[in-house]
Amino acid sequence: MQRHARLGATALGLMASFYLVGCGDTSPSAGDAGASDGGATVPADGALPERFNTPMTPAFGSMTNDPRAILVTVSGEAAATEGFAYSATPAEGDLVFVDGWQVNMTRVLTVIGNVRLNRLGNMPSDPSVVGAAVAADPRSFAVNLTRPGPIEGAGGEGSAWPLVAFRNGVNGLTLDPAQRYAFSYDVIAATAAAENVNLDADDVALYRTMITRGWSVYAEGTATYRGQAPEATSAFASFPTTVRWQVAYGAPAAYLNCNNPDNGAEGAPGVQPSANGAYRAQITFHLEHWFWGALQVEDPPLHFDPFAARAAVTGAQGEVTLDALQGVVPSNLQDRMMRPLGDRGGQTRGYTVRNPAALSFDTGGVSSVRDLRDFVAFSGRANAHLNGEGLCFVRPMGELRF
Amino acid sequence: MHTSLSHRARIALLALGLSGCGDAGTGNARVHFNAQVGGIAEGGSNTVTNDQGWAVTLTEARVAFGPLYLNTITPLEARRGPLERLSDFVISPAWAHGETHLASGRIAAQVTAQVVIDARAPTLVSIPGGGDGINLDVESAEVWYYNSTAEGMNGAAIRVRGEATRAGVTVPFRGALVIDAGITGPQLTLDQARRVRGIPAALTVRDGGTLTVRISTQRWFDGADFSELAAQRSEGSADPVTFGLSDNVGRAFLNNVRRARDVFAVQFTD
Repeated sequence: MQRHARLGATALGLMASFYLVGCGDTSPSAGDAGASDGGATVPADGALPERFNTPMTPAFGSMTNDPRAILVTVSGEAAATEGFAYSATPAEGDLVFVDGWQVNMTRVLTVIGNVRLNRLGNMPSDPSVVGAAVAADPRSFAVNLTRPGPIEGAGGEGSAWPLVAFRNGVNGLTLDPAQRYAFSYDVIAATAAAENVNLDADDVALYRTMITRGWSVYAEGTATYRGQAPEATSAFASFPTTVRWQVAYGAPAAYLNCNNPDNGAEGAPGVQPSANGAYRAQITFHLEHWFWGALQVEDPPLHFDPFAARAAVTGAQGEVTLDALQGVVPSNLQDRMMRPLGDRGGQTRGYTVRNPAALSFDTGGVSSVRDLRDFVAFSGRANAHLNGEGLCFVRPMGELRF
Repeated sequence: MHTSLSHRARIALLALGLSGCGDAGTGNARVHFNAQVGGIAEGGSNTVTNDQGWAVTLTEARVAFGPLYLNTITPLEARRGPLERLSDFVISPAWAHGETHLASGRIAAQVTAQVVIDARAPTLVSIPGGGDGINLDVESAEVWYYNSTAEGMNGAAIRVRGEATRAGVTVPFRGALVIDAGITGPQLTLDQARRVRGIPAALTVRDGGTLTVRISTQRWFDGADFSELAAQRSEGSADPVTFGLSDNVGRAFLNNVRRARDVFAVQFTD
């Protein structure tokens, strides 16, 4: 899986439903508060309305190209559908696990809400500040990112699912092609009020669990060890070579005033309508964040060994969930036998092992990460972007829940 | 003992792409203020039991403090109210503002000299030259670690010595934070190792006021399991074991002295 600069996306077509709220001169934080639940009461037992069993009608199609429209999609990029292949000699820009693992995703469920446009803020030094509300969709959307979508992903990277079409601003005013608008959204805990974007019956069953547990993310997949065979006497020899993994947590957050790679090399914030056709804004999830080895930096090396080391093993097969990472100190990673976890990350080009006897993760100044379970969820909370690499200001809206 | 860091500080500000304090003409006034730094709060203890059950007593905790910058960007992690702290008993408390996307923000004031303090003592040490900037509301502070050649520091930014005790086992130890290539790795650059950003500091500096920073050692050894050092001791030896990045104590220390919360407390008084 590789990251590319975004190519301009255009499409032709028609039709979509949209909702508009807000008005001209609200406070700078207008439109930032709270996750939407569509006004519905959320049942605590995970019960879902009948309508949830059927995916929603897409807000637009791959050919939709209405001038001045902002068409919002969601994607987990190619990683969501193809996973992360392993290579000892990866090409420049390839995302690989430096410890020899190939990692695939079989299901990644998440919930997006309150997609909105605001006037740009007037405080460049504080990226969380946006201006008056311009347009917003109060609905929330449950999506499985591993299903290939009907729309090409930003930059040709994977595929995407349509969510929202903004064709007008407040009071029916058309969006101004001469303006850039701040783009923000929330990731929220699963709610029965959400729209089903593309969940099948199995997904829906798990979505009920997400509701009862307060999760905003449920991901699962398979990791297969493809690296060099470990020495028979090393701790690595006792690790499973195939691991079913699961990452699930609640980490509600607002993603504010996202930077946009389409706005030149600096990636200035905001999305800008075009008088000649629709503009695509893709909410992009970078699924590799769960496997990062450091907080507060972008794109540190990927490791799966800390998961494999904690897996419950049957023969060469293993299973691991976040519960198995509870109590593991990031600076003192250990396997299930309480042995220090070594760093065998030197299996790929471009990675230098600091200490082969002990892999450790860097918490980057974060005080509240107590163990590896916190670490994974905390890192995962920052994985939502705009149009590929566009970073958003992340404002948590609640505690982590497991 | 202090060292001027003004040149380095200017370079740092340039590196951040910030104009420093040039906004006096847009409504904000230039100010000069006093600055002081001390260790543990009055009445605090130099012994703390960490989350691994080790009672850690520090007999030395020298910190080369400075420079410090005050920034408009929000803190890395929010302060939590009593109800939120109460909820820690039932759900995990990780909660942050900014997270990985802590932007550069804007530096409004700076303290560029360096002083060496005993972080075990509440005594406040005045920082020569104080600080300067503009009276802009700031939300957070940044502390940058630099090695010191001052007496007792031997080229380190922090030096510690003490002992850790658990279940009848006592481990005398010593160690240091030395900012050099030896602590960098695939997940940590030299700059990342040096800077502590997003320290809560919601304040406005005023002319003639005083900026006070306190450094707490209470969380420096969270997660550290000293049994690894105990295994390294020669039988019968009373010499302290030196921790480093090859053991979990040194790695925990490297993470913890860079905590944005819990280590530094910043306030301003008129």
